[in-house]
Amino acid sequence: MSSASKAETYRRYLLGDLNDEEKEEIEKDFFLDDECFGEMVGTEDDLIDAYLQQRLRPRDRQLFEQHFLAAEAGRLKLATTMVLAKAGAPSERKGGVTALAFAAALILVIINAGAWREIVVVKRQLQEFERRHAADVHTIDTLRKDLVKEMPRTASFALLPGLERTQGGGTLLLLPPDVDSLELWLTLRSNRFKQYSAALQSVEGRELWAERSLTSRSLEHRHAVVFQIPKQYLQPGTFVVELRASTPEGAAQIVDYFSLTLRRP
Amino acid sequence: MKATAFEKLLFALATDRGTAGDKYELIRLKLVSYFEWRHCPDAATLADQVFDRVAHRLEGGEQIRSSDIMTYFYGVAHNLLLEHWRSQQRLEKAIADRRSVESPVLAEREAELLKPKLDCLRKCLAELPADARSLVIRYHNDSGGGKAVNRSELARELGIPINALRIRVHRIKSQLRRCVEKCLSNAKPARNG
Repeated sequence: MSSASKAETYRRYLLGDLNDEEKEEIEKDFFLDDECFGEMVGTEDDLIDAYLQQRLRPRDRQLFEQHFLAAEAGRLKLATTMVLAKAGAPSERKGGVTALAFAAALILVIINAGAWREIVVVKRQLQEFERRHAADVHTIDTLRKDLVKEMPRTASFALLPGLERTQGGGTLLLLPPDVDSLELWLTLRSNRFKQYSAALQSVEGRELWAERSLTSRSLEHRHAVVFQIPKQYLQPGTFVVELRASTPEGAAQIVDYFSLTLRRP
Repeated sequence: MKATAFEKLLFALATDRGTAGDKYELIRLKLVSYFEWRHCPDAATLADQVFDRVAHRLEGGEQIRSSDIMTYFYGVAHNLLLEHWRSQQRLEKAIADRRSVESPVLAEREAELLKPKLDCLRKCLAELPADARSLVIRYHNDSGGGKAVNRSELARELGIPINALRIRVHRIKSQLRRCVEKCLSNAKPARNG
């Protein structure tokens, strides 16, 4: 095998683009041969560099995000390379990693972590970053601060229905600090209705906050109703969410209950 | 691992203790990389389990020729990987039965972890010995000539082949990631239920 085709095979391995038999063959090679192992880690370094410098072919880029970055180790390797590249850059305007690529990579890492989910806010932020930084290169540190500052402060959680309406029960949700709102994805047992309403209640049944005219959205192979709760109602404690549906006859019907316990770190 | 088992393991790798130590380190690096590339979350622990199993068999009297030792390690690692996947499947099924949808939480966690992750990386980078830090930074430096050229020059300067340089840097970055994981676990609040 030529060194170019070897590197391409290693690349495909790292991108998860080989079958099991091919993977095992490569693994045996690098266990037995230190040269192969060195080439493998070199290929990984090159792949991460190419991703950061936006040099990957579209399909490879997609595989990189869907496979390589799907593992925590892959995300950490990417972050490590970014920090090391920044540490070695002779000045803010030099170096192989542009600030825009860095911002895009960070955002893509976040998108990837929930790639199947619609993260409209983050996508909008990416467009905003592209617009703002198209002609200008900032330092990575500034971008990181910008990014963290502008990160949506909505905490999202998915809840399954049918939990007991009890004082001590409820899915434990640990709210990140400085969260502006809570987004609950109330998963449906069946998607029979067009419109729903949701109410946050104390365990005693007192209504604290409600949203009406909600519609269901797809969530993987299920459907869910997304219920937003503003910051002022996010006090530590146990709560119940009552989900109602509007029947075709115009009556309101209780669909399910969800219980949750909110805590702050 | 018992001290006697560890001694037997080192002796199986090489009769000279220094060489055996170097081999042990390289095998560990390969094992950790293997489990990471196969997306196992706790690659370092699995790597240690492979050593435990091999050492246990050696102590039990199993004879492994030194020429076959890497094939043997690979076989044990591969079996452990299959076992790990089977237990993961059981775990995932158990979780799916209780909470089938939790990815929005994961996405949020990732965003939450971004800042601490970068902070931990900087902290761990600062804690590296100066020569190791300088080496990984220079390896990732791209001061005009391109990284490939820089890396070749760096290897020449150190008097080692390029692959040896890559492995050396890979080892340092692996240590750095372990440090970050430790740093994050110390900083992380309790997980959601």
